[in-house]
Amino acid sequence: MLWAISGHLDRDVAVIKQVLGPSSDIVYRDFVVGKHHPVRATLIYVDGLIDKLVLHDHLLRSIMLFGDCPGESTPTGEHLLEAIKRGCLSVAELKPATSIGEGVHGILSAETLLLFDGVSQGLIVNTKGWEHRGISEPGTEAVIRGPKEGFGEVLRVNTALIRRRVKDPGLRFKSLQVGKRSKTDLAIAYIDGLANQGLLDELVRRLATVNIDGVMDSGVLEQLIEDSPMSPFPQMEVTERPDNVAAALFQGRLAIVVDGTPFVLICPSVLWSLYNSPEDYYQRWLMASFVRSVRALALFISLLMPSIYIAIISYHPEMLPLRLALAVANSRVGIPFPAAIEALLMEVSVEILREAALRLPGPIGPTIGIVGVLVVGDAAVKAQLVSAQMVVVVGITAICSFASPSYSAAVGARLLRFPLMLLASVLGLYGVMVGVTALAVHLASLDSMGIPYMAPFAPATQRLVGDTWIRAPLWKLKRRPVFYRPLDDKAIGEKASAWESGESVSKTTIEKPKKGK
Amino acid sequence: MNTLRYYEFQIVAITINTLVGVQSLYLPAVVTRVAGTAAWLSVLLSGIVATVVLVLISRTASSLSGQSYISFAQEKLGAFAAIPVLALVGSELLILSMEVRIFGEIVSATLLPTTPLDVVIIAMILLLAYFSGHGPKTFARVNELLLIPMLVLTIGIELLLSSHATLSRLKPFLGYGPGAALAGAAQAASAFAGTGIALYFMSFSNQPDRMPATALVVGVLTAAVYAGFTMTCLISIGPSLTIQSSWPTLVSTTLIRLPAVFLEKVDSAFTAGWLFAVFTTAGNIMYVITRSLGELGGLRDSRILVVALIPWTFLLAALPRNAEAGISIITLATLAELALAVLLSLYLLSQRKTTKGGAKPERKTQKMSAS
Repeated sequence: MLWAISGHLDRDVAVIKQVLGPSSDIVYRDFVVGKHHPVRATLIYVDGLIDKLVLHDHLLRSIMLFGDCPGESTPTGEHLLEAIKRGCLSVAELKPATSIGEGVHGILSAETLLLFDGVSQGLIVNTKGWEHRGISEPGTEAVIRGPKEGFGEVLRVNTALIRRRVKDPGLRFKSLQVGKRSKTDLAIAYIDGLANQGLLDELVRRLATVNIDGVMDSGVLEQLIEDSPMSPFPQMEVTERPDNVAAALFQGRLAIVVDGTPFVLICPSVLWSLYNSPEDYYQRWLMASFVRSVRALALFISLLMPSIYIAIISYHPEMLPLRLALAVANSRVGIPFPAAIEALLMEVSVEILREAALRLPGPIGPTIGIVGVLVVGDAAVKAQLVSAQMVVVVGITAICSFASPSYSAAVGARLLRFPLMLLASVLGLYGVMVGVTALAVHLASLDSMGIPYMAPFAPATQRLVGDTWIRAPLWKLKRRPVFYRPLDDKAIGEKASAWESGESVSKTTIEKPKKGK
Repeated sequence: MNTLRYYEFQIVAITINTLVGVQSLYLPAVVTRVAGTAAWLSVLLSGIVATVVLVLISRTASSLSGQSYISFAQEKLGAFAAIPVLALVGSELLILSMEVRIFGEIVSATLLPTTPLDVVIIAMILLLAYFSGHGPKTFARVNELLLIPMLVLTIGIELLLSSHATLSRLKPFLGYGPGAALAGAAQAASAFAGTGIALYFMSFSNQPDRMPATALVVGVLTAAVYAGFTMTCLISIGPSLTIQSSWPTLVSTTLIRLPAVFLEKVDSAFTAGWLFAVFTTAGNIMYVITRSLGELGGLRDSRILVVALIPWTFLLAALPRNAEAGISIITLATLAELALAVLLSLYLLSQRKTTKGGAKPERKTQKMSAS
């Protein structure tokens, strides 16, 4: 594919046809330029990927009318190309193609290749334009307060959504292509002068090593470039929200916007950032801190509640107050399974229900969920297959697992629940603590782009603990998180807002009404 | 070889986590049997001695500024360096095994009476091996992470038990007399098991000149934790019950009632929660043992030694007839470890001074840390 464009139109088109094969969506349009000294030309594009309006009005018509003026002769060779570029095409983006490879790549990237007989260069004209989903509310990150815009599938629309929020002249988009066959475009977003150059270089290095056929979603990239792909914990944040990306860029982090998916990757990420929602910064700090604490509690419940229940019921019933112990014992009379099997059955059932509800068409999904929980759960209790307490425990666990703002982080907790349940069923509370300790070791061993995953707790960074499970008032968050190694760690000036120290408008401009008037 | 530098808080966390372990659960009984109501004083005396040893170790380690004591000893003694290092590692291996065995006994007695002791011990050893297989970054970070829950548990238990305190139970002040108090101090030595490993990790501090002061604070804090547990047992359940119980700290936690919480008795939860403390003690010792042996043997990757250490730890842990025998062994091993650490520290310090003409620890603070 490194063959140069020869200037023999028929030969060049034949080579391209050979490379692209007999594919019905590839259009070859032959025409002539100029009437007095006509030059043969061919337009090649993929039907459906281009904007027909641009093709017809700004490309084809312009070129066909070129050189029509009486007395003017059509230039030939390189002069023709230059003349068309300068005085004919009313299209903003065009670039020359010297090889067949470049031309084919342009065609497959939704551009139009223009070849002329006798010219050893082609023109790649940006005619990109296809049907796509409009900007809509993010499906996985709903907020009560905050912007409702979400990313779409088009790379440039997504970068524009970021640019709209970050008017910093330092905002940069570094374009790359990944996937041997998919040739997926992506852009690394960062703020020059804020993001650490070392982090950027490392990210580019990792992306450059990706060597697979296709990158259909940012999730594929995430698995290929994260530090510990065997871990159940995501080491990159995934978001559909432009405001989330903008906030991350302001912290000196990097974002990877991949063409064809609304899910943007943010890196580096620490564990706590996965459990923070952008909404936390849009509401009062007390409320935000409360919500974050509730979320942390939900995480612990979703991770540990079934295993602790199994441990207490199976090994340490003496820990329960007498009345509660009697109630539990009473409800378990006639249950044929031990608590561990009972919990496992229920947890697996909930996971199946959750998966079924996701895959079923819109209106049916929630119905199946309700039917599953209410009808099947009630029937199971009545049939004495499971105890009522177990239904409560599994129900609370399932609800708590939905409290996580990050879907991928919630999946990690869901997965880890099962080995913890297993340990609880074999070794009781001791087993649970063994599991929790192993989990602590695993979390402490993780890095995200070389940044400690458990920061700011391990290694401890005292001044940023105020933005973890509590959220300090905005005016107290004077520094950017240092563990992301921003080049400038000062987030706000002397004061976040200085209205208190200024003179009140009411005292200076609004005159008191004079008496008697 | 460790190429990272630990910053001060990491050194504090590693040292406290190493020193505070399973001993908190049995120490009050062992010392009270010898020293009577002056047991807490014995623990404090023992703590003073351990603190002095820790400060000496920190001075030696900080004078090495980045070089491990093993490599420095090899420079000075050649192949003979293996003898003191192996002796120290041997005492640490005994401490590690006994730590695991004693906690296994406690778990078997209080949490899992029907589960074989071997299963409990193997679960702990596998967990320790998983931890020791990681690098120095994880070693430091885990200690940072687990320090806070361990301290919260310690302070929480002592605060909750304060409502059951009867200070008159501390009378007579000197218990069985000053001699008994001193004998009790020797008995309390096992509380400071693992002090010797500080010789290894303190040399990788990024602020070597601050190490002696850090060691002093850590030593005093650890002595206070143990003295606090001992005193809490004495004033909450009394000296006689403290002597009679094998695990007096756990017995004292049975007094705690939390009516508002669904857990009525917290002793089981406390035992399970104390796994953090035991894990960090034993884990830190295992980590340092494997790294020391790896360095001695010139191995680049010490992880193979972690696997090799599993059966040895298990066999040694299975050795004592019961927990009492385990406590005797850990006490002797700690005394041996402290003596060896002191001798080795003094020798290395003298060698360092003759080599560098009394070289002072490096003043320049290195920015690199185990982050």
